[in-house]
Amino acid sequence: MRQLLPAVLWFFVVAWWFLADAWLLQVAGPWRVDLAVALCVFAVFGARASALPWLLVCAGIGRALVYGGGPCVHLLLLGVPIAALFPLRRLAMPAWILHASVACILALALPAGSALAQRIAEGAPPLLGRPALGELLWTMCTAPLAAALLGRLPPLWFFREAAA
Amino acid sequence: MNRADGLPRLPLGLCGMLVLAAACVLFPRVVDPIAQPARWLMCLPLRALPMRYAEAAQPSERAATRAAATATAMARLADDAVRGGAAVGPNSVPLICRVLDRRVPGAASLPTLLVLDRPWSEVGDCTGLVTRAGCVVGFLGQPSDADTTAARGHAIVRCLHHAPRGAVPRRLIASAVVDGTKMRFVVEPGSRIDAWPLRVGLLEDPYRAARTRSLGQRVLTHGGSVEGVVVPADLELGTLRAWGYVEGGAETLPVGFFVEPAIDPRAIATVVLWRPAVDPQESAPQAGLVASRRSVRGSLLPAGRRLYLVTGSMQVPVGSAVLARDDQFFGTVDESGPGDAIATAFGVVGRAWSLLLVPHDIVRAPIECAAKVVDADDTHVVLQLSAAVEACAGEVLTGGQGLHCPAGLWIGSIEAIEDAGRRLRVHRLAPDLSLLAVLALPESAP
Repeated sequence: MRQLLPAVLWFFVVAWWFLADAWLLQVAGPWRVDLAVALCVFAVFGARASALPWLLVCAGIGRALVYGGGPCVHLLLLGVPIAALFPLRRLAMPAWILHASVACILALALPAGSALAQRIAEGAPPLLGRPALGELLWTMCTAPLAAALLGRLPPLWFFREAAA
Repeated sequence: MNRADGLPRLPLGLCGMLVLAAACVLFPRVVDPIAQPARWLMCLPLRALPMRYAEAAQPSERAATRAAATATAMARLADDAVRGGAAVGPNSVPLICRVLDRRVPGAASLPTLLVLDRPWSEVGDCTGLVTRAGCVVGFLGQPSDADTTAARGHAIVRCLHHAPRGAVPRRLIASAVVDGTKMRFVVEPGSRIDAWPLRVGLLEDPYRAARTRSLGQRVLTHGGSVEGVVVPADLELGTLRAWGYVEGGAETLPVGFFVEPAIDPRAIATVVLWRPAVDPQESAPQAGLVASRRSVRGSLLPAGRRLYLVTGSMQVPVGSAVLARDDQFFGTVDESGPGDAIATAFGVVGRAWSLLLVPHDIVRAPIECAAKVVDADDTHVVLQLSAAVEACAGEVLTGGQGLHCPAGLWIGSIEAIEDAGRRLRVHRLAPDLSLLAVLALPESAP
């Protein structure tokens, strides 16, 4: 039950998460808080490894719902960078540098992944704009902050490694 | 995060799931039975949003006027489709069919299969050749086992660039006038990475072809028979193109020859089948499938112009057309569950559409085109067209976007055609969600 309730909560919240992301995109354009990057930063540094599959399955379905495309493609788009960057969590460096670097990589990787998926996969999401330098710096600042803030709130709080 | 305790636990569960997801990307239909209920379940809390709707009312006078104009436009499109049909033969009677859907990307990543609005049982006696405005589109086909799940018994057209898996592709003898002399060659399906979908093979005079520097000639059929289907001479296939090296800045040293189809299969909305005229009564036009209309209610989700929540009394099929007040085309249903659905609006950046541009000048035939949305606001949508069109004033209609989104639904008016005919600016009324309807074909129709 302790595991089930957060899982169910995340399942029902994730659509709102990406709806908020899309709303921010519409309101603020590229100068928004990128909630997809924030989720990935949380997954890389803050989430329990055992919780990642469920976090990402729900995120894949929710993002596909909001942005279009197949859930498996979204799962790969989000999951591959997370899996690749996951070992960085034990790197002995100041956390803010790590978090900002990972946000930077993710802000570039997500549009690049979408573009690649457009070329090779059926059910690919629509193309996202590649961020300019200023927008990249903005995401490097805001996405880790959003990850830290939202990671302290339910439902992500239940998936934190420290809370395990 | 504890960085001192040896190696971190690798996300083995995530890695395993990514491998599984990669496999599922290759076979998306495997995931559908799980993903669709999951999406519907995920949408349930969205119903908590305040609904903004009114009771269903009778269609307005403007909708009736618009329907009459659409019927006229579709009749003009049908007239244009049978143009040049004399080349097919005097003993054949045209049967005009609308294209409901385009499927199975193939050569040059273009769809190779067109789903028609008529069941196979109704058109099985046609000759097999499918044309449009004097151009060969492809060959009539019966849905195979693989197609049946998608097309549910609808007759299908296999385009010229359709390459059947595990079978010999159809090849046509064609000709073009190159440097003042007629040259014959064979046209066959190209590959997915080719720039154009039809490849030229077995050139009658390859040396002359290699020397030519001016291409763009019309490619016509040379006559003959393909798998029992008689293909008359002088029907248009497309335009001769060359792929090769650039010499001197502009000229091309040809490495391969291709044919660009006269009609883009992503844009085609109407095709003509040919039936042997035995009895004059048989030439009477028969009605295609008629979509049913269901009243629903709608609400804008927070994501802005993209997502709309549609609720009704029963489940609607994915891909159904959603109409706003006065029968203005509004979008299509993307996710569906019992009693509610998520609809995506027309003007979402990145969405691809097939459109009909109907000029106000009644002498001009409606233009079929494929387009992708590049920009949008509340009253304007800007689309990039796949091929250049002539500038004109007129209306924009759907060109058939799936089994449940038929051609001829009113989208808006042409405001401008820019960028040498490659960019279309559509003016549309801000959608009024107070009266919504969903169009859907009956499941058992064919």
